[in-house]
Amino acid sequence: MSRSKIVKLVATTSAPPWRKKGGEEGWHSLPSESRARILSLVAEMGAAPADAAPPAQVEEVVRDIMRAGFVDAKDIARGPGAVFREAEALAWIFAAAGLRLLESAPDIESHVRALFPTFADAQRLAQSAGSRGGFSAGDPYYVLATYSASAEWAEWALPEKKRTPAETKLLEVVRARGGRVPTRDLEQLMPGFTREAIDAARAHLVERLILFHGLSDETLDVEIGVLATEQRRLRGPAVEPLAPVDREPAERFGAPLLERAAVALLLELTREPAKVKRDGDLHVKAEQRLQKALEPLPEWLVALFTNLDALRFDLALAVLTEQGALPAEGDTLAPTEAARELLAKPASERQALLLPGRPSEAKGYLITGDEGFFGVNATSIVAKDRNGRAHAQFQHPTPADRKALREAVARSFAPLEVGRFYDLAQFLERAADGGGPLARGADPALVCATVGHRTIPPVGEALADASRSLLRQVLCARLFVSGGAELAMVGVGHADRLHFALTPFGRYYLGLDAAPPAPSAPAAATSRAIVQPSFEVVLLEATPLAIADLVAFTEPANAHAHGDHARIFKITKASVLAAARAGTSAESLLATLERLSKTGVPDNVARAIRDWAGTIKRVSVGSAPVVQCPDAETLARVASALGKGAKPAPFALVLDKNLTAAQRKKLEKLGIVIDEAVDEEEEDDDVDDEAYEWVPAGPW
Amino acid sequence: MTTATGAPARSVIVQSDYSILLEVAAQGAEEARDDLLRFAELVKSPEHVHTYRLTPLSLWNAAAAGHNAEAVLAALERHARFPVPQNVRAFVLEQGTRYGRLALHAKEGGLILDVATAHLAEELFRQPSIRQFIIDRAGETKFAVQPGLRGNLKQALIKIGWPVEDLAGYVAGAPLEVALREKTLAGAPLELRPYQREAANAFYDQGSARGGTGVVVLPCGAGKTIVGIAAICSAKTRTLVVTTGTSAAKQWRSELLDKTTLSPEQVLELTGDTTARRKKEASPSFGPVTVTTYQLLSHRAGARFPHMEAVASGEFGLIIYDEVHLLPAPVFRLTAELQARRRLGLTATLLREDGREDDVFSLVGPKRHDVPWKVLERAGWIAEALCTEVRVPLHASQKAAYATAEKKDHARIAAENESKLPVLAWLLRAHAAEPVLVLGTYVDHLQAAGALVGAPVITGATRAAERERLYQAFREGRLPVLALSKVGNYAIDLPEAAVAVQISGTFGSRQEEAQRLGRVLRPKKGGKRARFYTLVTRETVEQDFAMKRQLFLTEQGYRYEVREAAEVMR
Repeated sequence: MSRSKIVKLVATTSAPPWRKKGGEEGWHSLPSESRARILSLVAEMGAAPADAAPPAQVEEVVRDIMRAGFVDAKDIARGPGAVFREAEALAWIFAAAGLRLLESAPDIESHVRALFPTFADAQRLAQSAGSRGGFSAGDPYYVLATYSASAEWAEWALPEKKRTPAETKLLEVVRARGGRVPTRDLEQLMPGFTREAIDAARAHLVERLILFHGLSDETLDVEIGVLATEQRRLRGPAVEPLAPVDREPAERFGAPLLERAAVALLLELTREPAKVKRDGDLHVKAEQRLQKALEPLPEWLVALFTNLDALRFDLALAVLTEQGALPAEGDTLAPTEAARELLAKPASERQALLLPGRPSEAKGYLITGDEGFFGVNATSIVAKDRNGRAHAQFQHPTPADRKALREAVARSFAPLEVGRFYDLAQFLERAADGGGPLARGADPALVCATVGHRTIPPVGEALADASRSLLRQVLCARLFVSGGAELAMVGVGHADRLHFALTPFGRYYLGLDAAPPAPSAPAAATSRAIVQPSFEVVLLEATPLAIADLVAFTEPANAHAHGDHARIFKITKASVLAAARAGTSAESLLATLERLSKTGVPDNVARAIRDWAGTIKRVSVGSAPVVQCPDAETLARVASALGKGAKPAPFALVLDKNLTAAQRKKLEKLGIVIDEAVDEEEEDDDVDDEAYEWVPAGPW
Repeated sequence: MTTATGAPARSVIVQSDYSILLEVAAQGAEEARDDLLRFAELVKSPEHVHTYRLTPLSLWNAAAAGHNAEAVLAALERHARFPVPQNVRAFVLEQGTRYGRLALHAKEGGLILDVATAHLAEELFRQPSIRQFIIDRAGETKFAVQPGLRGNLKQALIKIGWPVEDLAGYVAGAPLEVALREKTLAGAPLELRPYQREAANAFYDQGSARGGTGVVVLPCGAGKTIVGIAAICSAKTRTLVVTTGTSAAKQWRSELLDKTTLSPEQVLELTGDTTARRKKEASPSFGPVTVTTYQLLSHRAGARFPHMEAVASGEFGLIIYDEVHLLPAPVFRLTAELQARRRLGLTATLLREDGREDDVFSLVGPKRHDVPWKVLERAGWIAEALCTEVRVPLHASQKAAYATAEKKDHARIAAENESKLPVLAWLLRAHAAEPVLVLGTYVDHLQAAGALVGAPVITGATRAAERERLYQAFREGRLPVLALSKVGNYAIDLPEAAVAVQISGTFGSRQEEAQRLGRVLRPKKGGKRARFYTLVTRETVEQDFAMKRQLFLTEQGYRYEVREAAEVMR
């Protein structure tokens, strides 16, 4: 069952079925291992393509859900697919587990949209709360998602005097238990109330966004409680310092992705430059080809960050243009001389050069404001209007404001030990305490902040939430991508949770260390290549510059991961023809091979390169009046009559219509280059050009 | 990292895509190659850098030969210039420990599948493809399985990634008194070469249940037949030898008579020729050693395969599959039913065009011995070869036909280029003192070539007796030039051939190239180099096919030169 299917179910079902007897009790009747198995199966099925074979454990899971009473034997007889369609109750549980509303609530807006599928419903609650809280209701979904985290929300959304005794008691029980309670304990904790009254109270408080459902990490029990922000208030200020975990991560990944993406793009563009449309955008096909050239990432990371490829691609393109390695204008995107210089540098030096921004630098950010540094537009101004409060119109920070925010963000990471993994949720919780870096230590009421061009309400909880979002963005879209942090999944209870570790380069990025870390091993100064009689070029200790020399007239022989010390390229007829068409002579190709090779160029390879490159011939296509004659005799008479102006053409072909694209391709394949400026129509391949937004898909 | 001589200190680079590069000039390359051969497949071995690949099959083969995952990793770490990538380590540990976790044992006339852990047993039990073979659970980790479907079970298990160690033993077969002669019939001393003895011993494994099945991989000309004969002499049991054709069968028979104590009455040839003489018996009779062909075994009578049925009920204790990479699908089915007999596969390559390498592993057995061509060449057991591609312009009379022909006809017109014939004649004059084979695919063109140079031509239509007569004349030096169509690709022993001229080939077939080159690889007197010429029509599709062949030969480490006809004939 896909995630979108779950969300749809959430959105179209009037009430969570677990409040009916079967679902919730059924879930609680399962051992926690079975619950974990069901959740993992659903996650697996959600990630798999629609036509994929069901995972191996499906039979076992079906038995689990039958044991829980979600479905009966006749459903089973219809097969696992049918069971999952029928088991709508499960969908709610999965939705709750996916949304994790009792945690940091990153998806609260989707939850709000699911609960209030019609705009009018949402507006009613937002206006009612706004009239009590004194804030003006804008987009009701945004208002509900933002303000439901504030301390006053419960009173705004459902005043105490309007609550039923069961609702009052339920809130009291939840708050007394630290903000979350397993639903199976409610009857025991609320003596004197019937099951029906408790269920009704639950439903109403959930509808009013005062209480939320979720699953316990440890037991996977269904729980009800207040949002994480209120839980933190209930527990009081965090006193425990953030500690690194000792457990070995199940999965971990850390690499200078931006630097690698930049190198990959330069190499691919050296191999084949990309066409640029008149509006300056790349053609879609070229963009897809370039994105394909990026280093593949581990599956768990891809599942966690759906837009990581687009982010790496856009960022690498931006920094390369900024560095002059790619031209900022023109109809072709091809590496410049500066690119060769960049490729010739050791990787660590290149990594530092390609940074999108550092807090200590006054300028040089790629995108307006501090977006280059943060990965998202963020501002924070401490000021007040004549009423002594922050005002939404304060949106133009001074350089001092910008610097203060950058330093505040950097300070959040300062206490972390390099190389040790920290729970991201715990880090964010502590770092956002008191409003986090956006509050800059000031009274929240005086802070006017924006994140992603959205104004953050001047309340502590909203600033804290926005600070968490900002820090998460800095960590994932900048530190991780530039090699400043490693990410890992570490088991906590039944679930793996996202952890991160700062690297020495991360401290440099944040401005906490003045100099970039020294490279751990000296880079190979030059590559050693071996040209084999089998038309392979084996590049030992491959350097980007040597690769760039080869990709122009060879094909990569197989997939290589970054970190592999050798690269293999194949010299093929097609690759040599492509280089020859681009104007490179056979002798120039052979000179490159001779320069790189420590064993010379075998005779058969040299001969084949000369043979292939020699087949390239240039022809021209133009238009001229043609006199068609019925026979040779007439031709001679016509030629004689027309005199010098008419020439018979022994090396010309008269076509009855223009060359087709297929004919052009056929000629190219034969090594015939057509010398003619062809106005190729630009493909209408515009796609959604909306700027991507960092949307984490994972459980954080 | 280099030595004082400038050679890199370690020779191996392990890549994250499971390929392994061996730099042959580096220090310790010889030792590394010996180690790699045990657990990785040699993909190609051109002049400077050889490529190996780790695959589940290669690791299971290694485990079957006693090289476990730890030993594989230790060898990689010993030779690797850079740290072994983490994913490769995990792959070796995962796959290398799979072999041996499932074993088949015989018990009271039945068959027991023994599984290493309860968890794995449970996983297998839930697989419908495996469950169909299970009769009963004989314990938490044991299943009673259907004895008659032993081969099918092994195939099914390997399809889901679990190789099984077959320790259920073999039927003894009818006993056979046989030994190697000390001298051949011609009086020459007969002694197995070291690698032949090692191969035969690795296969038989002193008669234990761990041996007795498997494949020996040796280059053409390295004496695979002798290994088979040595296996028969070790097993001393009624034997069936299956070959690729009548000529090969005759040759096996003559080798058996020449090198063993078997009498002519004891070695029965069962081929199209002999069955024709006996009016295609419905149920053939067998000798103590029977030599037959894949074609005859696959002969159908309606829905039945009478010869296979007869073999299945015969008292054979050993079956030898010559050129096992060509084993056809019906014979796989027969082999699946003959899992209680010892089985030996002989081949020059495990590569199959149909990709059924895993069926060879599960039904015939794991690789038991493998020696690369170049190793034998260096040791002088096979001749060093120089391959020359001669580019011949298309004959003027054929140019128009080629230009206007449909694409499908291009290959044939280029192959039958008339201009090749004078080049062939010139080459034959240049090698007048040496026995020469002329190899071709298109019979008309080959006949024309034969007529021009005065050489007899053997094609599919040539009667077996006539073929034998011509082969014998060539072997004895009475016939200096012999022209062969595709019938000459496989299993013909013509040790005297020193030069081969290929006037046409089957598109870019690598298998054909290997087999044809094999015809001239027998060691030559005085260590003389073998010459392998290929005539290619320039600027036609044949040049593209030739490129594929060139790639294959250079990947195998052969020197390959390209010459223009005019240069050659200068």
